[in-house]
Amino acid sequence: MSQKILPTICPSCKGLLKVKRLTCTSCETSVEGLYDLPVLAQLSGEDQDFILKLIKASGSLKEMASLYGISYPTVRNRLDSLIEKIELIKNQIKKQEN
Amino acid sequence: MIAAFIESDVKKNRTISQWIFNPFYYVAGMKAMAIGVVIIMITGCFAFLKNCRFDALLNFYIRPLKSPLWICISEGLISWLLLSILLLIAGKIISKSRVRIIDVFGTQALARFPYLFIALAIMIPGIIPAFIRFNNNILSGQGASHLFSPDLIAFASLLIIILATLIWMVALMYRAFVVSCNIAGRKAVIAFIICLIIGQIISTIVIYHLPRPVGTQTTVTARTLDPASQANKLITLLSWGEYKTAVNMFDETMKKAVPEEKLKEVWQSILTQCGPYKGQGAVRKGKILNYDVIYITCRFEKNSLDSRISLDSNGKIAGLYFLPAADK
Repeated sequence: MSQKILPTICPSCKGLLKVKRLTCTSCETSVEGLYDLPVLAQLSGEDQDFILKLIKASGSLKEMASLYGISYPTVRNRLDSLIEKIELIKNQIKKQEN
Repeated sequence: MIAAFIESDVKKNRTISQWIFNPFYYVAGMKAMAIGVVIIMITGCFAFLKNCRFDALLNFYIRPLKSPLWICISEGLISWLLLSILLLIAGKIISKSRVRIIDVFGTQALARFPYLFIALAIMIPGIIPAFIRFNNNILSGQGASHLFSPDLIAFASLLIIILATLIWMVALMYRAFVVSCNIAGRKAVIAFIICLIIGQIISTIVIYHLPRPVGTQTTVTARTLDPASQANKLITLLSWGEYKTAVNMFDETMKKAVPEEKLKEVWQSILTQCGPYKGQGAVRKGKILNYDVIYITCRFEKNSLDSRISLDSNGKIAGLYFLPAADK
């Protein structure tokens, strides 16, 4: 069975989704409220995987390049675009809060 | 299962096109620079062997005379270094990312690898003489009947290879710029075109002013080669229509008697009478007083002529005659 993808954008109005309910899978206790999704959770699975690998590689882009089998500038460009994405998400959150 | 096969096929195709049009996705930095520099040097060696020149950023010429090996290699290296410096400056100004020098120089070196295909093409036996023959026949208005000859196939093939390779190389240079400096869009295109134009101008000037040792290109008059080679050069220059360089090989008396225009007139009248030039035949050597006399059979389409070239003790050409060939 394929992995479920956490939806972060509202399919109806394209706004950012928030967490309304959290449930414990062992005792089924539920907590309700309105929680923001962490910024990292709003990134795509691929981007999250990239960040995890970067942390495991102690932030070394050279190691990342050899891990992915791609060149150093390609890794750096991807990291730059990830930074841009995070900035964009942050700005969107700020906008919604205002 | 089928979907998996299709997906792997698509992935494979994407990888191949990536290697052809954007190898910098996989290779950059020192590794790309090492590969690129080796290719530039190999290309220079091939160009040297076939009297070809890459004498500016995007230039390719077939020359009548050989240039020294170091010039052939330097031309490629100079073009690469110049464009890399210009793109590095542009990248540092425009890009928001950290631009590494090694990435710009490395990817730009690797971007020149399509030139290797021109170098390999010119090594095909007979392609350069056929290209020259066809080119000269067209330029001199001779041999319209040869438009559909094997020479045309050689000419067209080489021309297509050269044009395709140049376009491919420029596309790679642009991709290298985009990847190494992390810029895209209109800014990247404009900056790249400006750098390319400036690079082309500067590389032309720099390469033109490279010191040339005696016996090459413009200074062909000194006696570093034997008389037969000098005579051979003269005929090659005439067949190429390089009358000015040919006149530079003359002694003072000959220069006055047969200036550039006159020499051109003589050669053109021979072409009119004997048809397009086909190549050189037998070479005979002799000596009259202090002069070396070289007879070279020049083969034309309709008949052959013997050129009698006299050289003085300084290696200057003191006499030039065309006579009916002794052995037809």
